[in-house]
Amino acid sequence: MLSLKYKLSIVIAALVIFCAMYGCKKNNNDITPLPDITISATTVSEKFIGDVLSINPTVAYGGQEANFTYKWFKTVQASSSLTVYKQISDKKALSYTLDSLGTLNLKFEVSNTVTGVSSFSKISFNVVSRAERGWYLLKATADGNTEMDAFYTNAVGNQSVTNIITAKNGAPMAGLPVDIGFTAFYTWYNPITKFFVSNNTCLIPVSSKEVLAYRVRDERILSSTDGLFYEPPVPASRNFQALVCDPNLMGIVNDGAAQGMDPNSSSFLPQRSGDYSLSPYFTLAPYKFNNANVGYILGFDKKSASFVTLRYKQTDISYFPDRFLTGSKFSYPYNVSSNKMGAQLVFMGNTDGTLDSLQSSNGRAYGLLKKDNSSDMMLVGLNTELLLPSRYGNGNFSPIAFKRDLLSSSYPDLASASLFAINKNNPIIYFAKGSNLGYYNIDTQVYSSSMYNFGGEEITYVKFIDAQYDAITANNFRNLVVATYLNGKYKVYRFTVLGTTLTQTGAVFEGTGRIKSLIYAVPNGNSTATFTSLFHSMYRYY
Amino acid sequence: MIKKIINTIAVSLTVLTLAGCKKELPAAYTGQQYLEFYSLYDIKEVTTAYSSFYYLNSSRSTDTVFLRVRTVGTVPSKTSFIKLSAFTDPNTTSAYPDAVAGVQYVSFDDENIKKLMKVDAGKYEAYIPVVLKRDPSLKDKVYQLRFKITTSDDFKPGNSDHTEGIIYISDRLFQPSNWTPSFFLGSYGSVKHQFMIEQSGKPWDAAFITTLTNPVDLNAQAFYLFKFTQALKDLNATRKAAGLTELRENPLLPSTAVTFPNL
Repeated sequence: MLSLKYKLSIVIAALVIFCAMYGCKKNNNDITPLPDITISATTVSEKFIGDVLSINPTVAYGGQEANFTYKWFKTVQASSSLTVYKQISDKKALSYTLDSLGTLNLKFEVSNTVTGVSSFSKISFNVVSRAERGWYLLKATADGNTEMDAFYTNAVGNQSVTNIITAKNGAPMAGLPVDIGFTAFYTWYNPITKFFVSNNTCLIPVSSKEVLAYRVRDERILSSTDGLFYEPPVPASRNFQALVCDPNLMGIVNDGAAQGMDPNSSSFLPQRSGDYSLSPYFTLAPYKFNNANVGYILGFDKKSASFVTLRYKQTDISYFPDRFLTGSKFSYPYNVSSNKMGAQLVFMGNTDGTLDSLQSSNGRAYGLLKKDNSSDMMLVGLNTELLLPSRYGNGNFSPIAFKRDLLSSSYPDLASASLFAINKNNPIIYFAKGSNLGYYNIDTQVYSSSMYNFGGEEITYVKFIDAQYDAITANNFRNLVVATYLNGKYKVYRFTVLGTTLTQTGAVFEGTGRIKSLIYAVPNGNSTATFTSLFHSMYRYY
Repeated sequence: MIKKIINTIAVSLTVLTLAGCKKELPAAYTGQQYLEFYSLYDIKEVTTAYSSFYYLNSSRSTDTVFLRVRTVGTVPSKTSFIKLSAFTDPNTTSAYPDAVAGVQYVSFDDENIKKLMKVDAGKYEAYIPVVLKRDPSLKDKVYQLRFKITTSDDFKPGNSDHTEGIIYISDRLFQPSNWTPSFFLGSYGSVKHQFMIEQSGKPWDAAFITTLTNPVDLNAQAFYLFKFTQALKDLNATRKAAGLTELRENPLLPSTAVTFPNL
């Protein structure tokens, strides 16, 4: 049998355990619940990329004082199938620059530093581009470099941004402005992922020394001059003079020589062969996005005074033979050679209609040439259908279907004008001289040198923009756009044209600098059914 | 009596529990050392290398290819020597004759070479040299050197998927193995190959082609296709002006004119 002492020990142990258990239970009943951490509900409506998001939520703790730590997270895609939270701030008040498009998911986490208890709140909203639709102005700065301003047109009204190049790149582009182009197919080599990213919709601003690829939707410079050439020209020899953008071929002229960039490519190919020096004026044959009539650019060789084509998938440029298409819509064939014109091109642009009696679709352009050793001009009508392989076998005939001399004695202000434009619906040429805007109707031969006067402001840019490519009909328009310069500042006017009457429309864009070129950009659309979007109608710009 | 039994059981349980904690962990492997060529994949892979004296200065009489090997099983505790042996594969038909020891390469039994074919103590990887000789025969033909890891005093061959190698030796241009029928610059020709080297300053050997094709770099491919097409057009125009034929693989055969695919 167990001794009494042993039995007593067991009893005492049992009592101790019982008391301990009882005591614990009693204590539990005495706990006062901790207050909840409550975070004020925060909602954020749609924001633009580049905006600084500022949120300062209210954190409550049942009316008690407490110390907290704060963490803001956003979701990031760690892989194609994994989304994780990444911390972006340890402050209660968040100030965060929105740097990517799409849905932004935020989580705000509050932790009590004493108890370790935490609470969180989530916020989601869309970050959209403010920059996809609007006017981009390429301008010369006071010190002779190149900058870009933008006047956006979007749901929250118009906004303007000045000196974008400096804001994004730290400095303006070196050299005077040349032109600004547009592509929907720029391929970007992402140096971080080391993969190529296709179909970037980019503006291509060009100065005499630099070229950039500027992705519109997130306002980011993807590539600069060295990255845009397989064999970058040395800075001292760079003399960029022109840019032309066709969906199948982007062409740049460097000191007279052409270099092309294929779509879905990241760089300009080497200079095209030949003894030529291109003028800066180009036009494109009308095309529809889904047909093959793209990649044929009409230009002019200053050296031989001849019209030429820049074709995609070619290593040089092409001249037209002295062969002439019969069946001209005029009473007799002109049989005008497009070679050795004895004149230099000063303007070229296309308009609706045709100079081809065998084709009914659009395909006419006009070129203005200044005769050698003379102040007289020559106007030629160009059948751009002749550029197309599917029409007449790859430029096998002279494209000139019409020719007219314009004597300086009869058209003095036209012959001495510095800038020209063409109405995209009718064969009317606009010309600028000083502050005056005039016109010349090719069909009726009506001429006026005083269509509009800008009161001392020098006209630095004129173009008829027929923007019938915007998916939002409200943004379609046909405007004559004129930029002027006075005392270091520019103004951009827009006019509707009715006959010879100009009626100003919309606000005047104003800023510092001198406008060289501009473009009205819209979001790129891929609808081959409607052929909308600027890119699908790029020929309208030339 | 019961008290003693309880005490005995308690003591026994304590002893058994403590004894259980002392069980020994498995020992590290200390047996046979194995060796294989480095490979990323667990599939049959013949280590392949190229030696072309064509790209080397004419004063060079030897070229060295280094092969990456790794140990399997153990990290050597002492300097461990490797043995390679050349062999002819009776199951493979090759366009290239087998290289001869002492003629196109320095024999694996050469005492100086043997000293270099080793894995140092404490290392699990090494680069071992194979020395190729610039023999006049390489001007006429491409030779192949097939070899495999064989048993040495220190190593046995490892995974048989990774113990064989081949080195192609030449002193002339030859079609790189990755210049396949679908190569982006079209069909192979030695005149065309030489033309590309001269125009680009690049070797256009297997290693360089890999930089354009794996991963596929369409931008660089477009650039080279444009550059060669343009250069060939210009060259042929110059040749024509000089009364010559276009550039051909065989000057007497028009059908062998050098061409590139359409842009």
